[in-house]
Amino acid sequence: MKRLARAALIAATATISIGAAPVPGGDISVTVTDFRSMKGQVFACLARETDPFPQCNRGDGVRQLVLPTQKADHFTFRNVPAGRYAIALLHDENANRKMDKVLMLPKEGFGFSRDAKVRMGPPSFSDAAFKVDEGGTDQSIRMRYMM
Amino acid sequence: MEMGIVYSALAMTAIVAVRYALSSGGFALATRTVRPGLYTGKNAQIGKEIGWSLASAAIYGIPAGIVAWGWQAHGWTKIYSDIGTFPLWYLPLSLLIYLFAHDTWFYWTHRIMHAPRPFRIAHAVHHASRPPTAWAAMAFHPVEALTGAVVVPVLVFLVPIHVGMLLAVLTIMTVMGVTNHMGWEMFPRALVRSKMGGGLITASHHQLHHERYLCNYGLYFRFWDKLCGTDSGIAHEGWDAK
Repeated sequence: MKRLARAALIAATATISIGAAPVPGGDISVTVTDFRSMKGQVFACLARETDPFPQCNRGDGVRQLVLPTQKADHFTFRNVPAGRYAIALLHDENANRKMDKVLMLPKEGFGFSRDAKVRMGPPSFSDAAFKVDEGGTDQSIRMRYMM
Repeated sequence: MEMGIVYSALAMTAIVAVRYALSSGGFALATRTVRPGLYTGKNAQIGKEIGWSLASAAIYGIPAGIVAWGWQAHGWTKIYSDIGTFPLWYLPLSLLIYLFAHDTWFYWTHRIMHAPRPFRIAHAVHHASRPPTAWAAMAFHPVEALTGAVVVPVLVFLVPIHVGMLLAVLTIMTVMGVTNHMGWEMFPRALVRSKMGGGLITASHHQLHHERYLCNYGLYFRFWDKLCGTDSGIAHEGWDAK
């Protein structure tokens, strides 16, 4: 029942977004520095304010890229409608598609737009948020490793 | 925002209380196995130890919760989470700085606590346990609990520390606080009665403080006790025999 309701909700939202006039936007060009190794892959999540952050696996505005680490130093999210966004990166070194943790602390690398800091937990959307308009934007993200 | 700070203080109080229940409860359970009967007939004393300790949980939890909130919301403190922020050798050094600073603060406030007036007002609560049990780890009068509660919340503003090392400091603090009071030595003889062990405080050292009062004031290290001539050594071998 819950699943059905959710499906209906998603369908409804999809209809709304198709019906709405497209907001002009641009490309988000992302440069990533300070990888500690070239192992594994990198998950790059682009989220809107209403999306769960930084768990970018759900939500309507989410876009996710998966790149081999060697190719992750530079990539682009294309034709992004204008609005506020935040980016979360995960350096999945052992390529098991998740953030590995020890005693609740992240073992693998992370990076956030505006270099938003991980403290008691991951940063909030607003700590990492930036604006996108017609001209697009360049974002530089520094990878961080807790251990 | 004000709700955030209140929520954080309450959450940290709950965390400290749960940490106490698990650590003291865990070692009390171990005591039943390793030294059966050691706490027999002490139910009234243990009840008081738990009562004072839970009051202390709020006194420890509120400043810690406020600082944790400020760290998350405003970037207060020098706690860092990127391991590359400082060279790797700073990790063990920061741990030692925290333990030594806490030990120094504890030694001197503890000596003050043994002056007649402060003892009567505050510290007598902790010495009401004769001998203490694993439940006495946080059994302090609120005034004394306050002197202990400010240490780490102040240190995180002064000395940079990695979040993992801070967890290590809190773990050592918790485990030693419980085990030094539990009435038997858990560390091997080879450590406790060795040269290196001679500088460290374990149950065999702190037990004498609870027997004789005016000696063995330290927390982690015997440095200040030895320097100030207040060290009475460790309890004779077999003090905690089965």
